Amino acid sequence: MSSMGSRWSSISLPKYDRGFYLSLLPFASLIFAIFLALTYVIASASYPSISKFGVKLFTENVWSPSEMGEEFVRYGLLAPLYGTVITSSLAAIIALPLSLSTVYLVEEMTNSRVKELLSTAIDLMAGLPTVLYGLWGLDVMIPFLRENLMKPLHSALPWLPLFSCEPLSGASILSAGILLAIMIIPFMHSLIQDAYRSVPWIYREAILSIGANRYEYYKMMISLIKPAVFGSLLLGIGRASSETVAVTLVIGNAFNISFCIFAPGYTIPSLIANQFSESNFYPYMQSTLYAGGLVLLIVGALFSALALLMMRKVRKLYG
Amino acid sequence: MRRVALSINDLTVKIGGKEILKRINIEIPERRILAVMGPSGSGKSTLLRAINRLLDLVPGCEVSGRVRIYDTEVYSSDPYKVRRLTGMVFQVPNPFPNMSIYDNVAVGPKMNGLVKDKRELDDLVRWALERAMLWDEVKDRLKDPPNKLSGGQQQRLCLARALALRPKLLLLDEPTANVDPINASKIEEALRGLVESHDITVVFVTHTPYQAVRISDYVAFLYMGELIEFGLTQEIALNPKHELTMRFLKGEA
Amino acid sequence: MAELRELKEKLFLITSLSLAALAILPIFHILLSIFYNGLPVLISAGVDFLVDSPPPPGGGLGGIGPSLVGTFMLAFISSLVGIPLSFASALFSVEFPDNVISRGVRVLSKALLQIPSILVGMLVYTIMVVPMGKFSMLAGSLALAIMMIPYVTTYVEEALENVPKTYREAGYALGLSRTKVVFKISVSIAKRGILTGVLMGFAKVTGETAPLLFTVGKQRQMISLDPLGYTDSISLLIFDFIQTPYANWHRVAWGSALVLTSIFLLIFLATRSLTRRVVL
Repeated sequence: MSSMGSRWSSISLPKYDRGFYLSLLPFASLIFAIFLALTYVIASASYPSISKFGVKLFTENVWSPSEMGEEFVRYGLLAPLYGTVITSSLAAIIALPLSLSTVYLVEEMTNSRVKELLSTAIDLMAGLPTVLYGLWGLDVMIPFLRENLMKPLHSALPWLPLFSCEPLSGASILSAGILLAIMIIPFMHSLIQDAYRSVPWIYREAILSIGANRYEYYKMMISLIKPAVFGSLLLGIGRASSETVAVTLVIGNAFNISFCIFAPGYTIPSLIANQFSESNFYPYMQSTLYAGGLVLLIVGALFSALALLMMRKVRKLYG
Repeated sequence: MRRVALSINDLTVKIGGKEILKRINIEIPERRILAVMGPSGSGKSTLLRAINRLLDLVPGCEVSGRVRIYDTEVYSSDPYKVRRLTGMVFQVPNPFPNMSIYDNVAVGPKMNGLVKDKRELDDLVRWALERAMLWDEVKDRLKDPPNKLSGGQQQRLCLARALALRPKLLLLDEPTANVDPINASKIEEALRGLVESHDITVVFVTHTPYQAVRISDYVAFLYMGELIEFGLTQEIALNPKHELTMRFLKGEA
Repeated sequence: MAELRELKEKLFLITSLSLAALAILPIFHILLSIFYNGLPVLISAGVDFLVDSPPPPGGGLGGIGPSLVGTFMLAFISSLVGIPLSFASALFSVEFPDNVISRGVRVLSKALLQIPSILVGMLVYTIMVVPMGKFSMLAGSLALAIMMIPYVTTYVEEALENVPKTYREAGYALGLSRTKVVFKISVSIAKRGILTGVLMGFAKVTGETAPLLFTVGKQRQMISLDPLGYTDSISLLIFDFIQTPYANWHRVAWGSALVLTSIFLLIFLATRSLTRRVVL
């Protein structure tokens, strides 16, 4: 919180403030209401499928809807769960070095034109509607990756499990991972940049005073904010895991679990995007989708909490 | 025959168009202590940073004139190389919080390739901590993080960190301003000991006249960016030529 | 040894430059692709593209009129609801920072920012679409408002907090009531930041897709202003059309992408002229 803001204790509210307070209170409480409604609806809607399928709902890869009767229905979310984890992690791992580079240039470069260009590009990336990423991903990126990256890698190293399957359309875990990486770069850049800027001037001077060159200087600066870098990795994974439309367009939407990154797959959000509309015709399908959403929520919350702890560590060090 | 360690010629520094330092001329021989004194805002810290080119970090900075450390022209050389000739201690103790006490001292020499193996590094770290009058207090806890030390101890650690580089020139920016009197006198003692037994020259900045006079061989009095007086401490302390100097020494400026 | 050290530094600089260039290459390529693929579509379809209904699969370009109108109606209604609510929340949180509810608001705002947008759509589906028995523009607006609120609240909060305390103190010293100090002083000093937040919120909701998937009904044949009726948005249209095998629908998708991008760039430039730094 900025130290310049108001710090009026609510204990000593003068009388005419109470009206102000009470008039704003209901609006402020709305955020609580939204949050409560969200968690309640998702948890209660997940309940039927979780109680019917138990843990197997999350550990099996099966998608057998049936209009015939409830006994024949089986659902297991392993494939989309797997896909979510793999694509998000891949995205964060790719985005991290890229973000570390953009932060270096924006913070340490002397050429202001280049800095402006970078900043503007990153801001554009942050706000661009995600469906446009998906559109470009599908029509432009996928054909390019398929011809210039996947097919060559597959023919050169087919024995490597990672490249063992033949890329058909190009819609795959890899494409999703790369597209997500592009999409979360601005987010990670901003997080790392904030932590970087919080390092006090005297540490920068100290690092330079012992004779560090540009590389050693940046290395030491980054190690000063290491918890924040790790935290941004976690938050990046969280952000990537919630992306829906862009992923749906490039991942291939198949219930598939394999080591090969050229194979199509599924993520929880893209599964929901594809199946939700018709899902109330099939018993337990909609509840299963909600259960997938619940997992996203819980794991996302855990990651955020962890990341927050790490960010706080850095904030405590440098105020 | 003492060589000239530091030579500053017509140094003028402008920041954002405003003149912070005006035509400074100073020359000191090696193995001596120079005290740069003056009231707050006189440009002392800027002068120090002009020597090791930390001033480059400040946007909108224009420097003219010459600074020479032994044979190295500071403003014609790579700033990163210049900083390896100098060591600096700052006003606020700033040991690296993410490293142990040992590593704080060791990181400089390791990075600059000053030692060949671990044993040489250990010896160097010990030497630096001894010169900084800190060894006895930390020898049993070298792996501890620096936040376990008191402020005065942290500042002595920063001194050790600077010394580990075996610099020709040691620069200190009001090193005892935020430190208790006992630690302050330890640091002063350390500085005197250094120039007497080692190949090093010391320049420190202070705003207290007593400190300036107490341990230095030469003293420079800076006021509003101008060098009012410069010379041997003994002469200036007893017989200041300029009225401003006299007032500062009396504690009135 | 010194050469190795210098080599490492050079390598570092080259790598950083290359990686940073790689990081921003896609956005320029995306924008270029949208112009390259979308401009011919707009040129051949003409201004009617913004008014007409979409063509049948396999023939002609038609237009995206209903979806365009839908995008604006959705953004408008959700802003109507979302912006005052965000403003009130932010005001509350800044004026009474030690209050338990305030702290909760701040924590939950940050938490809601991370919630997958598709879950918001599912929420509104359950609490509004199902009880009403049908999709509606209102449901879509509600979903968008929920997305917008934590976002805009954060911006407005930051803008209000950056008002130096001295101005407020001066106001109180003059005997102004709290309401007056807040509105006439704090808010007017922070107005640039607040306006930026509003614009950013607006930009966000014009581009969102996932919250609308199961809330608005994808009615893209007729222009409709009915809040209780079905509607569509440009983003939904692009999402649907690009997944079909029809070449003309692909072209419509690219043309729509250009329209959507233009809207986005317009808002983006507007916020840039207000402030140097755009926060996520």
